[in-house]
Amino acid sequence: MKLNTQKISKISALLTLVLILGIIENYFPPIIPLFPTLKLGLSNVIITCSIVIAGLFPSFIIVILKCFVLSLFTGNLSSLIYSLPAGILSLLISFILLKSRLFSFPAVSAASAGVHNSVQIFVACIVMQSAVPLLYLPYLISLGMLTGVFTGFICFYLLKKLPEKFGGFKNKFNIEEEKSLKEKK
Amino acid sequence: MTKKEKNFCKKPFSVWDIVIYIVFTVFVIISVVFVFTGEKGNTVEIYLDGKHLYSFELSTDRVIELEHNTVVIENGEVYISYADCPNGICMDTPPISKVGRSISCLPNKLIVYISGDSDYDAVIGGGL
Repeated sequence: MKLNTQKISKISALLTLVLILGIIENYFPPIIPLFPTLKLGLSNVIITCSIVIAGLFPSFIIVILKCFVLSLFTGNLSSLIYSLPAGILSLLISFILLKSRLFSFPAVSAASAGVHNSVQIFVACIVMQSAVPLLYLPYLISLGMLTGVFTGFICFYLLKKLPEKFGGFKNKFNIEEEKSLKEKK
Repeated sequence: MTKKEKNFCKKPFSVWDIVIYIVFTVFVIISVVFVFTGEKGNTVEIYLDGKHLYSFELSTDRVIELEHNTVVIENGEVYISYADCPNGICMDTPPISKVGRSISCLPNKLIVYISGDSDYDAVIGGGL
């Protein structure tokens, strides 16, 4: 796959958006006191969009770079062990679900958010060498899937407004519909 | 453009979504059940690096000073009052008292866990 200038500029633009949203998200106070690490997942909007706009490999690059930069920004280098596997696996799941064209964006986002949170819990189990983090699994998955539905809606409406030359759906089916309407008349 | 593709681009819903939403509902039900069940525990277990370090009674007020964290048992609840980790999330977590709940400090690999077993051989009750 060619990494030409166009692709690199697409990746940088999307990465900037991801980082800005990630940094803003970081400054929000915890939504639920028992789970202070739970975040709104706004950067996942951009990442899901980038699967459609730029493809799988550029999205990989964006996710990996996002994890590194955000870990440096928050000062937690150890957060890499949790965010890297979670980000990569959730990206793969969203790509597979999206490619199948069977699921809609809110469901895809919800599924990827659920996978993301569960991977983080499994990594925590391995790191702590105990089964205690598993007790948080139902709460984090349900809350994560809930926020995932919202981010999925945002992503869908974003792509609907985006013109086709960037990969969006703006007027994708309007021309065909007008033609068929004229023929009926 | 197949009908599948058209539906994908036009509507934010699809029939197959129901599969994912059913999974979601299952987890919500499990979480609700977990939140509302659970009795007050009576033993606080402290795990560091995966190894069981101490067990204490929940009923006695105590301050436990570890290398990177300070765990406080007070009024039948446990919480972490000091930690030198970069995110300090463990200090923000509210106190716990029910069986199965836990507070963890991930960077310092510490887990403070509440269990309900009253017959424990290695309970370090008095001497600390």
